[in-house]
Amino acid sequence: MTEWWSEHAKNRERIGELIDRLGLVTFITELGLKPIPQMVNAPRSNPFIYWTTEEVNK
Amino acid sequence: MARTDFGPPDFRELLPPVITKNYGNWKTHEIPRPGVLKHISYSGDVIHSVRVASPRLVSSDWMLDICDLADKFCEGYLRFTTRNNVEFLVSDEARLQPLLDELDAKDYLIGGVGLSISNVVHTQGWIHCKSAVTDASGITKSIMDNMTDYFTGKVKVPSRLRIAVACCVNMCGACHCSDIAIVGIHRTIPRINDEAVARVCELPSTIASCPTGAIRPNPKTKSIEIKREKCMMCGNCVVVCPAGLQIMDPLNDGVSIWVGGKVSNSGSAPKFSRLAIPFIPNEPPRWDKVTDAVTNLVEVWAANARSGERMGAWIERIGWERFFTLTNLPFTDKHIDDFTYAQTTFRATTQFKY
Repeated sequence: MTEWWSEHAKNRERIGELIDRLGLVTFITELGLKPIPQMVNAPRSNPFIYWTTEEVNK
Repeated sequence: MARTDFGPPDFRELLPPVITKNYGNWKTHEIPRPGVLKHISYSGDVIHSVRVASPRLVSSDWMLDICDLADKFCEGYLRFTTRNNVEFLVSDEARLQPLLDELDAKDYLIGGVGLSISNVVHTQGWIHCKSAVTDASGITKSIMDNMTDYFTGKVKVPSRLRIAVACCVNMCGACHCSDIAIVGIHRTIPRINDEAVARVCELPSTIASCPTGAIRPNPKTKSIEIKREKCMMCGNCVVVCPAGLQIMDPLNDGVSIWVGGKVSNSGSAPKFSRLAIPFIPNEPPRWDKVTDAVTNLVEVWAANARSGERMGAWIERIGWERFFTLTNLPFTDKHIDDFTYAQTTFRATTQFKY
């Protein structure tokens, strides 16, 4: 976590602010963590789900 | 006010006389049998509402038929509820049973009142929407066929449950606040036909139509380009420039399922629906995977919720981690919010269970 933060954070940006800026999904993916419901208070309520090019059929 | 020919007429002209007479003076209501509401006024007057399911997209024959029934049994007075049920407003108690008998004989579904699953609200779908991801009426029909006994009150449920279907993320169909919501999801950004965009479309209005500012001009082709990361696949640009842009994608379009929303203020504050299943492919004509998922959600909720507890209240009590275990649904990266105010949904405390 510290390494990921020191690599990506802007000057004076703390780790919470960095996660806020890049997204929790980016954070856990780059750390190799599996998403679990304990990470959130509640799942998303907006339908703007981002699908990567690998996830969709060509 | 003078009567004009635009807009609907003043609602007071359309009320049954007994409602006009007792306006603002109703004492209580009861549910004498599934599908029937009995409202009692302080003056002692009574009106019965008989609720019947409607497919929302209806034929003119069907409309003529319900109008005939209303003429015959309730002096022509009927109304549609917010979830597109038909309510026959019966002022004369003696005509209640004959109406119920005739509705039964004509195979109308009577129900949807109180602790039950009401009619499914839904949007236009492939029938006439330009950016539809899925066939809202087809999914609704398949779900309703499965849920008939919940509508008519044959199967008892702990609380009321509202289902909605919207055929794209713009959600014309109350999906943001329904106990179970089925929302069509485009997974690919619009394809651009550069030649047609350059020749037929108005570039500034197409670019301006994008709510997230994902579209910019492409000077080389005299057309536009769309930034993938910013596009939320709402289809706005497709409506502005239908000749040059295509968002429907048979390979990648499908639906997502959301749970726990409600509009009502009773018990707890209104809630937004939240993601349960990110994607199920389109499978016309019966959408078996969607109907199975909805049935699973209803059954798990009905078996576990306390009396009077709606889907959202039940989930809040047991916690989302238990919800995903009980319903046997996987929790994925798609469930974690990444849009505006995403941070407000992240857990920053140790109050969780395994």
